[in-house]
Amino acid sequence: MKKRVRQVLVLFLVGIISPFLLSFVYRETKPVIERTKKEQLNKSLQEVFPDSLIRFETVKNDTLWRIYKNDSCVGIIYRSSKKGYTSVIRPIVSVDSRGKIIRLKIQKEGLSETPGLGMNVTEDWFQEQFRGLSEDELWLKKDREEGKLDAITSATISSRAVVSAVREGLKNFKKYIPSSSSTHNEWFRNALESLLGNSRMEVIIQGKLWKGGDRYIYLSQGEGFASMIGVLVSIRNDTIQEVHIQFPEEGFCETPGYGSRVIDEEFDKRFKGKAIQDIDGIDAISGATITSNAVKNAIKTGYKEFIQGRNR
Amino acid sequence: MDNLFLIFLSAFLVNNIILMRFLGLCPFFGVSSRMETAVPMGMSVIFVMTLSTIITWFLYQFVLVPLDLIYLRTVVFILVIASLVQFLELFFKKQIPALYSAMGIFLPLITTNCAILGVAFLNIDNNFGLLSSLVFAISSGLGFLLAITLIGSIRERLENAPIPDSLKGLPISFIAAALMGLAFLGFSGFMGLSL
Amino acid sequence: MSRTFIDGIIKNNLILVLAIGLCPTLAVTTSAYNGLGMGLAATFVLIFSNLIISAFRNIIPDNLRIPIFIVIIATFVTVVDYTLKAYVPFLSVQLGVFVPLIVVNCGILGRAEGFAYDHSPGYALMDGLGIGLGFTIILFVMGTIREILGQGIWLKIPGMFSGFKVFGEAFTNSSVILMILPPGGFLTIALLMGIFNLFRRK
Repeated sequence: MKKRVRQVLVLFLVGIISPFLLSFVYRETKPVIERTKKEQLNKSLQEVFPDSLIRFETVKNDTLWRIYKNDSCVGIIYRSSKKGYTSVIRPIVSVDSRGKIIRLKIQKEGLSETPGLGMNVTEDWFQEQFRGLSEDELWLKKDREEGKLDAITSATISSRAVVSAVREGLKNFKKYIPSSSSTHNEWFRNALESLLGNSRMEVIIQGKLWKGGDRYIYLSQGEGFASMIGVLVSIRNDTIQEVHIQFPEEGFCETPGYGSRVIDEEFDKRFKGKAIQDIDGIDAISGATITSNAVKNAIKTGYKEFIQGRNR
Repeated sequence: MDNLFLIFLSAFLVNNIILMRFLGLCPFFGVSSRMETAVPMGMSVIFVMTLSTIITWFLYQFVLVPLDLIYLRTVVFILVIASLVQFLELFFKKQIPALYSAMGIFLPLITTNCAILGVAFLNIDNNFGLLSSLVFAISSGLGFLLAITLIGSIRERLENAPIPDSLKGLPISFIAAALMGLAFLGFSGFMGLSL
Repeated sequence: MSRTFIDGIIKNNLILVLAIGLCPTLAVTTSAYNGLGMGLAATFVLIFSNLIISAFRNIIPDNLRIPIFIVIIATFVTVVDYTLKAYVPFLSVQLGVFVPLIVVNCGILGRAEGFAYDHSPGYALMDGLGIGLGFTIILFVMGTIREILGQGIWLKIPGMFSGFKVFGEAFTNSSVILMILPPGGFLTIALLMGIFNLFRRK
């Protein structure tokens, strides 16, 4: 009997101590693991766009980022993948605002092509060839006449996989490339000026909310199809007077010819004279629903902040 | 369907569990000296691998993940596999003596066979669903059977071959395995397969 | 005690003599650094499981010893696994599934059962150190042979050190790639064992 009790006790102890120790180790290492992952990602982003004055904004988790410099979008970085010879090849590629490749880097993690042959896709000379190429030129010379890339000797399959991964990624993501480089700030200054005219405004929240007589102006942002969209709203007696949507040539980082229909069809005019609760009833621009909704949401969230700011 | 077939090909040939992934080498060299032990060992591996995959997959997806206990994965899996093997041994002994006489003596060896635990881990690392996991386990087991049968028959012949003394036994079997591996390397890139 | 240590390295060498723990030996030794990392990880587990088991050998009930050993070993394996993931992520990726698989390395359970369970902690520690060192040395040597022949460099540490160029550029560009592919692992271990046998017989 005594032996039984002892056995149960020992088992019980082992069963308690082991998970306890492990949960401790897990809790200690988890933040470190996550931090290293983030650092690695940041490092690889910086490697393909080495400039210290920029910041990255995630558009699609783990696949697409926008590069911002002085608040204007100067390019994108994407990650794509393609089956190589014996593993999956995952390049990270940076593209400038003209849609030309700046730099690419092939992730070594999980890459196991034939050593000495396919593995050479990670070599500098091979990756360097891509610089400055546009989508049509992203072919192997031996595959297409317009191609500008040399394959690695005896590793055509791996080379071709890299080239198609880059090309297909560019094809998929080029719609996210900003078409202009002028800044958000400029747009904002002009829009504010056209709203204000000569009237004097007092600042309620710096850079966000202004008041002139019974008129309020607020700035807000909404998440569009591929980026943040800025709106500047002028409001009087809870009725919208005028809405300014950030234009493409003013740093409007939205899909050209797609989201920008919001601008072409003068979506901003539809808000005139509406009360905030009527906004949901306004028709979206067909073919640009996400952008339209982003504008609506930006107006609504900005309105909430405005109410809070006004009552302060 | 296509995908499952690729998983099969990959686990069976391209990434053969023994020759390419190096999982389960201990029983591979331990019992492969004769065909009559090699084949039942391979059968036992397929059997246990399939069962343990089902159990560990459910345990992981429906117990460890929801309770946020994934860090207990190694402890839980090895205990489950060890108990499963013990249970099978007892069960066969009592209920199915025919199977026991065929697989019985190999079962204890299987607990410390890294192929079983390795396949359980790989299923999770590859984010396989239940069906894919099953296909992966069975084809890995078949790959094991294939490799162990081949090496078994080679080793039977090697017994009569003139071999330098210092290479007798294990070393020459390793060399045979290397040559087999070389042949299997020919499958890589087959249908763009990789894992 | 020093006898135990030396026996652990040579007479009880896990790989060359007992032919145990072959899977990680062949799988991860594509470079000297990976081999070293794997060897040290296994050594850590071996030392601590040996120590704990020997320290508590009088309380561990005889009929329940195997499952208890397994839990103890698995616990230390998980500790190593997460530590590597956190502090040497690249190595952790390279070793992959073979880190958690240390748990089924028959050598570790074998030492727990065959040595630590009936020796005092001092001896168990020495045994763990010796066996671990013996294991690590073989992995390192295998990694060295395969890396030098397969890539022409030695001791490359990803992200930190690009490795010693052992042979000239010409060799690096046309190295014996086979050596870092799976068959190269079998070949290397076969030759190492053969050489070891040659000396042992004399």
